[in-house]
Amino acid sequence: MRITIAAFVLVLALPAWAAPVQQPHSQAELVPERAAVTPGRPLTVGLHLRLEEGWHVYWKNPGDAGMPTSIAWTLPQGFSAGPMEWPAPRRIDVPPLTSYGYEGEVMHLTEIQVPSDAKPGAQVPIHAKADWLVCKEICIPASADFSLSLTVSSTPGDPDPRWTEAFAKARSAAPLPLAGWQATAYRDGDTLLLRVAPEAAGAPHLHGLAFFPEREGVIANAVRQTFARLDKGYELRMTVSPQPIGELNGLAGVLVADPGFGAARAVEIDVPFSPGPAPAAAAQAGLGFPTALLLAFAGGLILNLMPCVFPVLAIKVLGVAQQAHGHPAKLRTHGVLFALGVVLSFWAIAGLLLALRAGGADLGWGYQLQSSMIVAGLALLFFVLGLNLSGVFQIGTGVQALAGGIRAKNEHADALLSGLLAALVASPCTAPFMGAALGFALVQPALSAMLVFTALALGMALPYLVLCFVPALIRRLPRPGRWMETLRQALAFPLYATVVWLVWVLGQQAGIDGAAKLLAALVVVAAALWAVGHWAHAGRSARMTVRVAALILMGGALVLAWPQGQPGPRSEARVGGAWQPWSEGAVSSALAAGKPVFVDFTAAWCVTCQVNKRLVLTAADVEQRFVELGVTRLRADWTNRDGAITAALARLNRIGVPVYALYSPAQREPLLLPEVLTRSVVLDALQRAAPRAAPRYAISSEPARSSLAKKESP
Amino acid sequence: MMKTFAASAIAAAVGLAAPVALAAVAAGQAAPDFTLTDIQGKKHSLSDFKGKYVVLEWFNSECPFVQKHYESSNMQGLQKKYGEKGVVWLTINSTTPESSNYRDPARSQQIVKEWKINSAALMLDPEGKVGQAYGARTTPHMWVVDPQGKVVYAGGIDDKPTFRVADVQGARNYVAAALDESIAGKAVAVPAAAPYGCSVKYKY
Repeated sequence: MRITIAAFVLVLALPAWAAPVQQPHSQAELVPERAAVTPGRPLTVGLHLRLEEGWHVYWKNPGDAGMPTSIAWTLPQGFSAGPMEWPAPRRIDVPPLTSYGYEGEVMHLTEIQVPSDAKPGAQVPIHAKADWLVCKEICIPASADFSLSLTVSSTPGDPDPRWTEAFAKARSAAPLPLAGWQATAYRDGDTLLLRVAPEAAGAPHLHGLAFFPEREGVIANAVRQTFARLDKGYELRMTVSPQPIGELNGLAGVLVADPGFGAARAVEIDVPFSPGPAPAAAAQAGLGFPTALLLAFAGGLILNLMPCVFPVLAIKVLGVAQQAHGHPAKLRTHGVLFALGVVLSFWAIAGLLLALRAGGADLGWGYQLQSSMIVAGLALLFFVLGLNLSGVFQIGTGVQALAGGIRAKNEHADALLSGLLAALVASPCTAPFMGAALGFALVQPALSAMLVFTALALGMALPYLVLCFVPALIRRLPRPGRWMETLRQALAFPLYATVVWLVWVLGQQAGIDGAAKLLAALVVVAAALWAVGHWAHAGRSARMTVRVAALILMGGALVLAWPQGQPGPRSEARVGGAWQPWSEGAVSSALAAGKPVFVDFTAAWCVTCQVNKRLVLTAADVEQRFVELGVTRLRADWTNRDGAITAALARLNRIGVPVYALYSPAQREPLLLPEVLTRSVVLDALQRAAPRAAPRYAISSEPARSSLAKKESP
Repeated sequence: MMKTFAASAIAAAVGLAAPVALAAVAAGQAAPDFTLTDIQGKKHSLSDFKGKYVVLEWFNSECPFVQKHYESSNMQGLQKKYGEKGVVWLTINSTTPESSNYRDPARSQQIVKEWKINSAALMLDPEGKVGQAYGARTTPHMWVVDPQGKVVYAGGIDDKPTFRVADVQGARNYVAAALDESIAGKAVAVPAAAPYGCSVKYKY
């Protein structure tokens, strides 16, 4: 039997100083903290694993799949090795599975006890055999045999300077016992609640929590853990493993906090379940429920003025104006149905979003547009609407209702449908106030979340409801006449512009070939609808033939435009010049270097984002200020689905783009800028965040650093 | 026409490909029925084997943990031993054709021959439907189903989560224990244990 075990190579390191052992996709090194062994003093030895990008190794509980790294020691008489330590892991999602482990590099420390009778001058041979599993899409086992020979010395030697940072990092990543905080755990059916609350005032403000269970079979690893702020403390909600192992009496494992529980970023948790249901704790996410409703309502109202909704809704007003002199009762029904359509479509989109998130998907608001198929579909839809406004064809009911036709066959259905459509076209736009309200909604129970979305929908529908219910307003609208036809045709152009933008978005997602196919489909659609319009008054059979042919052509166009396969590669090419691609690491390393960081959470399909980028973020005076203040500019591109960005947004209590976060080294929490930027808003924020720009602040906030600098200068 | 177009655009927005949430079948639950085609092209359903003990083994020939149990002849030995006692051993591969670990039926037939696999059938589940219905997470990941169709064991094959062939010796084999205890009319002492190995390479 021949079974090829991939790359099962054992490399014997030379005794003396252990050389790094190279394995496929990973490299291992055994590093003593000091070159000398001192009698009676423990020696720390680190197993350092460096991984190729995209590859990972596992934590002590690997989660859904994997194997923990292990090390076996062979030591001289009198020496003994303690347990290998595990820095706090991270979540590694390989849908539909989730593992716990490490990416990049990891250092596992082990303390070796040295007997007090070790003779100075003697050589101490240390042998260790390490096994680890390195995985990306596939898994490769790796092993290394290490041999070190250390000299016993009565005085401890200096730590190896090449490794002091790695040792310090490993120690700071180690979970510490929970101190200064109270942890409680509850089980409520299939839901597990872990609550932490500071024991005294002045504790850091948390943005997020992640729990890593010590053993398998406790929580459903792949299901999203939801974080909420309570009136006193924080709560993390998890789901019981559907494949439970053993008794579940409490929660034991590691809890990681952003930014940390004071000195520790990660703490050890071992709490039994408290009896009974969890006491009700008022959730507060910066804003209360009534505030969130109000903000959502205001956001919905303003949504009407955003560039993606305005052209469509302007047409709607024309329709109302045309009916102005009809029956008031009919008009009122129309208004109510339109509002109902808006509410229903927001419910559908939000309900699906909540369901998918409950299923563990890393999605946020605007997820619809992360699918290139939806983008292509919307482009076709807007194009057809535009052709209709231009008068290329007149058909049926839907378009006429939108365009304000008075002879619609089924006015009720039209009103409802145009409401649905209005909400659909609104999705690329985020209005002011919306971000905070929706961010709040997503950490609430489903019912409260749906109420927030309802408030948003009602806000959006309000102007039309008012218009339809107050006849006095309608009478103020100009009388229908030729001007309406002119305006109608003119309004086709904003729609065509929208199509151009959607083609560009698709180009970002599916490449130039995808965009070209969509454009070709638009030509086919134009030809089909032109034929329909051209022969609209031909004989009955000719008319039907043309319509059937047009239908077939449009079906063909849809197939043609349908984007193939997966979204294209992350369009990092777009992140050019002064803007660097975002990552958690990029933020923290810039902050560690004392630089302020500006993060632009954006997406190609987000109109508001694009407007802000072009009019504000790349404006000459703003750019100049960025350079003067040494701000690191990072762009998080959410055009395609990206779990890391969704998680980062969640920590900022947001679920959609745009979000503009300005981090300053002196402050723990980033400053969030409004969704609609102006140059003065950005410039003011930069002024506040950058101490160097305002010496007055620099002196008052960092006296320690300036006195240190004086002491060091000769 | 316009109306249907708009309606289908909305339906498309709402009916977005939902990410698959992994279901799970734990010990004590009824084993859901399924039908899969084996590498010879023959269809098998779990319900065909009602009245018999059935072992479900999740398999991927390219996974070092699966190789551990075949290189040591541990898996073939169990398949043969319990096959002779009337236990139906079904080996299932849920690897997606998009993965480099995918082996088509022809190649799988060669592997069965080379490795002398003794299970009743090796079945491919390229869409991952059966794997996800059971919540198979690793290769290997094992289920033991009793003659009444109830799961009596779900989890790892043994208690030594390593890729070393030598660790098969001296490991406590949970599948053999569950079969022995259950056939003897006793309660299964360990009905669930953590599965270990490579992740199942699902289509996503």
